Amino acid sequence: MSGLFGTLNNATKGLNVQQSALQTTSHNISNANTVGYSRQKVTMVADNPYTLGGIGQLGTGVRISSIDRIVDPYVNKQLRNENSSLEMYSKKSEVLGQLEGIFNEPSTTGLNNNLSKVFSSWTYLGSNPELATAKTMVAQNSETFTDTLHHMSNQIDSLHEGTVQDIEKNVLDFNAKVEQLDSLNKQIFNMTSQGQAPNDLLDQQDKILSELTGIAGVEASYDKFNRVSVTVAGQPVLTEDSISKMSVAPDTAGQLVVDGKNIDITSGNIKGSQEALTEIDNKKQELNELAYTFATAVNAVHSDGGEGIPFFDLGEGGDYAASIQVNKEILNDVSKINAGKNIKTVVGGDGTRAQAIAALQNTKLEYSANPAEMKYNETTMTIEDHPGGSTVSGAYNDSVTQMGIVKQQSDNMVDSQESLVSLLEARRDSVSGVSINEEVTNTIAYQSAFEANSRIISVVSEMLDTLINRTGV
Amino acid sequence: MRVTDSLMSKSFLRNLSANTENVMKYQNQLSTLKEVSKPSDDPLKVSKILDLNNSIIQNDQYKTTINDAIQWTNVQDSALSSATESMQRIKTLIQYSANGTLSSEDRQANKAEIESEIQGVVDAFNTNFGGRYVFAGKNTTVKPFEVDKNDNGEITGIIYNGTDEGNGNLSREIAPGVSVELNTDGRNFMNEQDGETTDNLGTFFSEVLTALDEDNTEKLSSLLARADQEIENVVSNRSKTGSIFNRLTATLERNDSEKLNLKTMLSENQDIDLAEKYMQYTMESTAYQAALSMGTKILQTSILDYL
Repeated sequence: MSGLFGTLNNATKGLNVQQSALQTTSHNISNANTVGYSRQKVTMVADNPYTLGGIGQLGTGVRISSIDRIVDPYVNKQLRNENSSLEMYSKKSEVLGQLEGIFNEPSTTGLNNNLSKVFSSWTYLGSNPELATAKTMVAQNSETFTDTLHHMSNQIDSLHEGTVQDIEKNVLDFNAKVEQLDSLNKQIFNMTSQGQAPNDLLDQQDKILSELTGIAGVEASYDKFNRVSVTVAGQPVLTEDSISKMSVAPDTAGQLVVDGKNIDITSGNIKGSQEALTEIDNKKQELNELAYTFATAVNAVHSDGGEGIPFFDLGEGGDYAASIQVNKEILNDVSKINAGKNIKTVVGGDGTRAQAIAALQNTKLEYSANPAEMKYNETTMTIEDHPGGSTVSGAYNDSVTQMGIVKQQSDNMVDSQESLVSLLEARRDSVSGVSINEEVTNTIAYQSAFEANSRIISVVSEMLDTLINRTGV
Repeated sequence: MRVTDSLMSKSFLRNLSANTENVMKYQNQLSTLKEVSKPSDDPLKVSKILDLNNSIIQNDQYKTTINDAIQWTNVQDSALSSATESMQRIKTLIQYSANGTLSSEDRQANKAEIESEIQGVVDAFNTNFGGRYVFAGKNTTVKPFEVDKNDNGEITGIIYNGTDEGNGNLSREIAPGVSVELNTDGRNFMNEQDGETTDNLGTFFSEVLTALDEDNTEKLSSLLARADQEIENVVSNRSKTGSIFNRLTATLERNDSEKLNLKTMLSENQDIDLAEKYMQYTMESTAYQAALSMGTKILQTSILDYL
């Protein structure tokens, strides 16, 4: 349609389109700091032209072809996956950091120091077997040692418990997020099936999916309506029409279960907790083995191969680090500590047995869940070195070092993963982030376009005035 | 690259947090003066530190043992010195009494003195160090030597109550796997002849006293050689104690130098280089301040300031 009314129509369309663009700009500006928001852009196109026969086409103004969100799906996917790894390593680092705190090394109060003091007091007793105070010192230092072991054992247990609880909380969170995704899927389907792009809903979908992947590494796939399906380790938890709940197996290892099947995830916060749990359990086991081997060796020498009373009471149940105690009989009467070679008739100045126990600090012993029986020699009061074994403090040292290495590795992974994630975030922000400067510049452009369109309307209005009121008679 | 506001503020925050982390690390190291505070800081270093701490405690304990053993040998030495003096006096008195021109009364006077010197010898052998008898073998809590007297109050011999079987020397561990035996076996001083318990220091004394009672100058003369032998025995034991003392002092010196080594190594592993660390800290703190001042200025600026 040509003519003045056509022009008036063009200007009105321009006015409306600039107004819509301004509204989108204001939407962008107000969501500049919204997490997961992707900037939106109004795409304007020239409207279908009007063909004047023999002349050509006459433009009929502007229309909005679409309002798009600017995203790079590939970057989003990468970001999700790398963030999932980052979550895993930082969780692992965090828990291992607590484990490290329990071991409290190097310090002057840690188990290493206690152990040295125990041996040192045996050496002192070896040189001063006549002194009652030397025996008291052995008993007291050994008790400090067992107290420290108990304390560590308890703390490790509660760390284990706390970590499992953490997994349980995360699983609840995971299930809640899957439900949110499900309801989003329905809304998105309603919009897209009507041919509309639900920009803000898709942003929310991305955000929740990213949080979900942070909790436990999931695989996501989309159908043509932009509905997302989620599988965890090959096991579907969300499809277009079904939803499955994740749960934690009742054992204490933090095993995840979906639809009655055990699943092993490969990344995410829960995976970090699971890996830390393995490490926690290892350390607990090593402490138990250390307590068992140390106490058995001291007992063997102290009781002369089972003849006399044992020095330590290991307790029942295999949780030795928690149950080990200095023999009650000895605590009540320290004179029952055998310092001399002959354990039946006490020879005042004979400290050879105490010296032999002190010499255990240089004996290489075996630490395992099922250790071979120690070979005790009654004449020399020594225990045979175990091939490939290590000293008590050496074994503890190994355990601490190994924990340090695992923690260091996972710290390093956190560092490198953090820089990778920040790089990807930078890419994402670069593509999808809102730039205030840009939006304000656009605002100026839309404002001036709006003003210009208004001017056209007033010009057309004046022209119509001229035409109607001033022409003719 | 399209730079957006969130990109800038995030990267600012990230850099700032990295800076803060470094500043905190140096602050921590500077205020504890320790290079590492937890195993993951440097697992191998921590492993070395644990080992060294162990060795230092062990070394300390050995030092205590060595010092105790040195005191022990000192006490033994002074006891033996006084025993030797008494023995020599006894010998002089025997020599004097062997003189045929001496009257019986004079001999009896000598006998009285000899008796008291015998008591002196036994007292010296019974020397006690911090509640422990130094020549009692392993029976350190039992008085080892006792003068045996008959009903008339005459000395008939010396009874030894110390360890009478096996090794009577106390052993002390003075370094890992290294032991020294203190010369504590009292049987050495009984000086049993040909392994017979019937002829020892006690019987020698008894013989001397009997000969004095009998005015048997020939016997006394013949006992002079035996007196020399007994003195020789004590002296040789004294020199043995002396050689143990020397060995102990040498070990003490080694122990001290080892301790110095261990402490140096520990310090190398554990302590910070203050100057270097402070320089690093200053650099980090400068970077931190720069990041703060730069970031806050840039982030505040936008196109709105110019509209």
